[in-house]
Amino acid sequence: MSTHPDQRYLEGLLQNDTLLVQEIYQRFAGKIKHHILQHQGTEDDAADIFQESIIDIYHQAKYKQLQLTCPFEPFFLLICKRKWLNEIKKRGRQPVTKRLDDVYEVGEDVFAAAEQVVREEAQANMYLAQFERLGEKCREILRLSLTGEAQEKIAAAMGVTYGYLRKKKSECMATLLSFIQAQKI
Amino acid sequence: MAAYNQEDIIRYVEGEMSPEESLSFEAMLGEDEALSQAVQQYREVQTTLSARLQPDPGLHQLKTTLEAQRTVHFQRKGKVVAFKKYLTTIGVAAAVMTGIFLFRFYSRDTNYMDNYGNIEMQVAAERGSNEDTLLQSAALYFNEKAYTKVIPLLDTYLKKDSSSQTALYYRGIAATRTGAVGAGLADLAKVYEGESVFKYDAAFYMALYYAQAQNKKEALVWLKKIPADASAAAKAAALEKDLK
Repeated sequence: MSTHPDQRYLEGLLQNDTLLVQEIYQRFAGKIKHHILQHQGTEDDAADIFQESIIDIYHQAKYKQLQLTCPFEPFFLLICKRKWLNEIKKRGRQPVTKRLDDVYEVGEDVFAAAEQVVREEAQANMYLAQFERLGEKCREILRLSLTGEAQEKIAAAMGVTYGYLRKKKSECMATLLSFIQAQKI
Repeated sequence: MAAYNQEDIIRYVEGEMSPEESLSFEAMLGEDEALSQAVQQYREVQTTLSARLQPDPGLHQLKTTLEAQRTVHFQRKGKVVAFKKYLTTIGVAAAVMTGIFLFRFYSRDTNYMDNYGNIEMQVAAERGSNEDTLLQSAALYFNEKAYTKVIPLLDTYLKKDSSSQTALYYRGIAATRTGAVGAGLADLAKVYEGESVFKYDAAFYMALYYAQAQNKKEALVWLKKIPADASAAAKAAALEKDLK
């Protein structure tokens, strides 16, 4: 499937194009505000969801090389709505049964693309949240190891042996994985 | 997966197993789906954290831009004006507080439309046809509260597609706001009789109109028509509480 001309929105976010960000707010802020106010939320909730959705799309464009094959508008609005539905559930409220694509008749491609963004970003945020639960030492070891520093260099900088570092890194990772798996249950 | 633990998975992915151990691990991978999923998850966690734990100046700049736009397009709630500096004597304080109380009391009784009537017109532009353009233009005027300009556009639209519940709903609201109350309420009643997504929003607006007109009885009749699982249910419950 070919890339949609609205890919320009994703490129603009990657380049922090302020005019394009302004355009996104001008075109869609009112719609999202309206939707969230009508679905048990406040204006602050709407602003948060709007902002988080843009950041999710930025992350997907940056790390997953997301290529938009559908128009940006229904894609973006659906991401916002889906995130708000998840937030309502998280707050322990009963979501209304009205369909997400109520006003916007969205195609399956739009629905699939939006769902993927929401799902993958929720997962990435969960990984990061669980990482933050680790002790300071573990976080330091993993941060340095995962961001590409040579193991020997890290060991020297931390004043530990290479063998100790490897063992410790493995323990920290195992703890992190157990935290993550506990979240999925 | 019982034969292997988390640390084995990590050792395998990191290439720290002996060739023999690695071979038997791979043999098990083909048979044990849980083990295979655990390996995949480890790789995902590793990839995600490797990317996202790196400092990202681009994200930082984008967040600054977003914050600036947020203040323009969304109102921040909960900001309280500091009254302290105005209150030089207890008498002044009492006067101000009484004023606030009276204002709140007054607004609670009469400004239902201000509290609940902030409605924006939303349309989908999927087909790019002339009819869509009409709706888009109507939405622009509607959201600027230029209701007199909305009505002729929606009249034209409804001549081509008389069944459009979107056009009827927003024309109904626009009409009540330009003084053509009878026509507006008739449009909204038609929307309520239909089965569109606007059905209960129309009922809510009818209730709101009557509440604003101090016709509490009729307002409650319309509120009762809204079921608990409708999107307008929360607002309806709040308005009902205000009316009682």
